[in-house]
Amino acid sequence: MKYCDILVTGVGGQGIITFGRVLSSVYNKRGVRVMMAETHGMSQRGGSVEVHIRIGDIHSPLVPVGGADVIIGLELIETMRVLRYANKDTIVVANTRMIRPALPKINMPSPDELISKAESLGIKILTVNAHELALKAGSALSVNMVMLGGLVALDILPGKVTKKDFLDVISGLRMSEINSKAFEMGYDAVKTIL
Amino acid sequence: MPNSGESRSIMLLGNEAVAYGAVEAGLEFAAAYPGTPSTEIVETLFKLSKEYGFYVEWSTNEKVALEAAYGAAIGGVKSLVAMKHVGVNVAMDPLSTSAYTGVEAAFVVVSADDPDMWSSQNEQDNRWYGVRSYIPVLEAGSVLELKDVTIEAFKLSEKFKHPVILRTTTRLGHSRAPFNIGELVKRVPRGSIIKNPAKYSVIPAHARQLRRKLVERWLEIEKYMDTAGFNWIEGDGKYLIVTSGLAYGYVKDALSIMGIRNYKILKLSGMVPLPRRLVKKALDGVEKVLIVEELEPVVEVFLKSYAYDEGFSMEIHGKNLVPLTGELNLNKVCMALSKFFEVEYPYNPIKVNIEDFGLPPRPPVLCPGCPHRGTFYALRKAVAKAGVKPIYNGDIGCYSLGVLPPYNMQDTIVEMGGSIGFANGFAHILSDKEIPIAIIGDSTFFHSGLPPLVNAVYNLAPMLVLVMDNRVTAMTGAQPHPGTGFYQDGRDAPVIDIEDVARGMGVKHVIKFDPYNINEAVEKLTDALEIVKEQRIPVVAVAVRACSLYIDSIARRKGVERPLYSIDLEKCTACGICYNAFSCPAIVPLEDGKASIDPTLCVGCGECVYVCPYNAIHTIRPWTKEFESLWW
Repeated sequence: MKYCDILVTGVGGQGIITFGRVLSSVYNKRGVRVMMAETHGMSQRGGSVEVHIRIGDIHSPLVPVGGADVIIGLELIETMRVLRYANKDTIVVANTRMIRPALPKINMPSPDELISKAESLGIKILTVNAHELALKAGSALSVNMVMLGGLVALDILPGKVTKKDFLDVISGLRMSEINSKAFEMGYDAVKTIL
Repeated sequence: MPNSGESRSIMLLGNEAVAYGAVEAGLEFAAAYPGTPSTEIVETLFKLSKEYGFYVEWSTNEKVALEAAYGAAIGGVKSLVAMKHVGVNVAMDPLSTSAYTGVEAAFVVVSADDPDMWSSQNEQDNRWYGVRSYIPVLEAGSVLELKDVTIEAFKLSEKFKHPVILRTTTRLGHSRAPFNIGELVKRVPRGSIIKNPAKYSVIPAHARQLRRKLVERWLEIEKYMDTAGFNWIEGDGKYLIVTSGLAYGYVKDALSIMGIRNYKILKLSGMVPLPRRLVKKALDGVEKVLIVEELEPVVEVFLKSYAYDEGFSMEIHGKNLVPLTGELNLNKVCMALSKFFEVEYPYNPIKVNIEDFGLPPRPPVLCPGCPHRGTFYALRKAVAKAGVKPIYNGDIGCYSLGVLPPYNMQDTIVEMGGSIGFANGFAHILSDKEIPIAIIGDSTFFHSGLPPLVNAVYNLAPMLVLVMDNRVTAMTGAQPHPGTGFYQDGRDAPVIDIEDVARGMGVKHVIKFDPYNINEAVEKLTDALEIVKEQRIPVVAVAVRACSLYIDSIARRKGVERPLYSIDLEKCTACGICYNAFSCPAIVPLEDGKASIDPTLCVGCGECVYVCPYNAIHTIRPWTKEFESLWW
C-alpha cells in the first residue's frame, strides 16, 4: 500500500484537530500506521491551523511542501495560504466560506477571484459550501464533518476504508447525529461534483 | 503493515506518550510549570495520578519545579520535571550542579524544545545544556519511539543515579501516533531522609571531590551509550548518515521516497555524550558522512573531533547541507540527501506566488470576551488622560498579543518576568512624564514577577505594574496557579492574593478593577498613572476578570446559557470602533460597514456595550445569576 499525505487547514476553533482525530482513529483501528501533526500552540486564539496526516509505512508526521495528495481547506483564505503543499496531482477540496481575521481595517478578497487564481496555476480545486451544509445538518460547528465526508468521497484514501468506518467513529463524538448528517452531506456534495 | 498484530494500539499525543512512559517506568513524583510544547505531559500525569498514586504538582516556576523533583530524587523517589526549553534557563542554576551530586533515584528532566519558535521567543537547542552540565541527553528517533525512550531515560538515570535530560520538540510532543500502553503499577511515593553532606552539600571542598567523580562517571555513561538499545547502526555502504533524535524519522522517509539504497545509518537517540566507540565503528570503511540534526551542530562538533582523534579523513558534511535554523522537515532532509547522494530532489510543488493572492494575515488574536482587550483599551485612554508618555514593557502570556494592532502596546517582550525587570531600568533613565508600564499576567507574576517588584519598591523605581489577572495560566490552557484557588483536579487550594502580595512587599498604592467595566477601569488607571507621575514610586494595578475562554468552556460543559448582545442597525453609524479599535473577533463588519455580532463567537461579556459611543449595542439575553456564578 502506498502512503497518503493529507493536509487539513483552517482557522482555530473550526474543529480541525477533531477532523484529524477521526481520520487517524479509523486507520489506527485497522492497524494501519498513521501520524498526525498539529500546530496548536496558539491556534485556539483564532489563528491559522494546519494539521498534517500521513498514513502508511512512515516515520515522520509532516507533509512535505509539494507532497500533499489531498489538501482539505475548512476556510478559503487558509486554503490558499497552503497551496505550496500542492503538486500537479494534488486534489484540493475547499470550503468556499471565508472568515474575517479579527484585525483592524482588513481588505477581504473575493472567493471567486481566489479560486480562479488557484485554478490558473493548474491546481485542481473542488469547492463545497460547507458552512451552508453544516447549518442544514444542524450546526455551524459541523463544517469539519462536512469536509471529512468530502475527503472520503474522493475515493483516494488508502486501505479500502468505507463510509461506515468513519460513521462508526463519528458516532462516538458529541452531537453525533448532526455530525453524521453533516458527514453524509459533505460526501454527497463532493460525489456530485466529481 | 507495521502495526498489524499490535491490536491494542491507541492514538496518543506525543506528550501523552511521555507521561505514560514515565508511569510505566515507575514514576513517583512529578513537578512542572506549564509551557508550550511541554504542558500536556503533566496534564496527562494529573489524570493518571488519581489511579496510580504518584504525586504531581504545578509549581510556581521551572526552577522551583526542578528543585522539587531533584529533592525528591535525592530522597530516593523516581522523579520527573517537565518544562519548555526556555524554562530550563530558569532552572539552570540547580540543574548545573545536579550532575555533581547525582541522586538516589531516577531524575528525568524533560526539556521540550521549540524549533521554528511556534510559541517561543527563541529556538535554543538544549542538547548543549547536557554538554555543558555533564547530563546525558536522550531524544526519540521519531514520535513512535517517544514512550520507549522515556522509559530508557528513567533506566539510564536510575542506573547511574544521575540526572538525564529527555529532549522532546514541538513536533514530537504535538504529533499523534499509535502507542501500546504497557503495565502501569500504583506507586505512592515514600522517600527517606538523606544524611550525606559530602555528596549533597556542595561546599567547595566537597565540590572538588564530586567534580573528579563526575568526570569518571561521564566516561561510564559514554560507554553505556555505545551499547544502549536506543543507539544503533543499520544498513551497509560507503556512505554513512548520522541522525540525532527525530532526524532519524525524516531520514528513513526521505531515503525511501528517493529510492536510495546502499547506505549506512548511525541512529543516535542518545547523543550526549556522543558514544565514541559506536561512532568509530560506524565510521570504519566509510567514504563520506552526512550528519542530519535539527538546529545546532552538537553531534557534528563532537563527531568531527573524534574522527580527527581516530585518524579518519573522509568528507564529513553537516550544517553545510542541513539548515541551522528552523525545524527539520522532509523537504530539507530530501534536499540535503539529494546533494549528498547526487540524486534528484523528489518534490515538484506548483509555483505559487502567495503575494499575488492578496491574503489578509491571520495571527492569533485575543479571544472574544478576553478581559485583556478591555484592559488594553482602558489603559490607552488612561495614558492619554494622565498625559504621560509610556513605554510598555510586556511579558510572556496571552497579553503578549497586545503587540499587534490595534493595541500596539508591548514595546518589549523578552522573557518571563522581564516586564517589571526592564521597567526597573527604564524607570531611572526617562524624564518625569515618560513612565514605564510593566504588563504582566497573574501566573507570570508568581513565576518571576516578585523579585523585580521588590527591587522596584526598594530602589524607588517609578512605574505602573499592571497585573492582568485572568485567574489561570491561560496561554497554555488554563492551568491553576497560586492565585487561582483550586488545583488541577478541582479541589480547593489556598489563595495567594496578588494585592496582598504587593502590599506585603511594600507597594503603597495597590488598585484593583474589573476590565469588563471599562469606564471604571479608565478612571482607576488614570489615578494610578498620576500617582506614579507625581510621587515617583511604583504603583500596582490589578485587572481581575477570569479568562473568557475558560469560563466559556465551563458554561458549555454545564449547559449554562451565555448572555448575548446585538447591534441596533438604526443606531450604528459604521464608525468601526468596535471591530477596528476594540477588535473583538465576534464583531464583524457588514457590507455597508455597520457592525454585526456573530452569535456563534460572542461569549456574552458585554464589554462592547461600553465601547460603542452611540449606544447601538443592546442586550438580547442578559447576564443571569447562574452565568455570573461561574466567575470568581
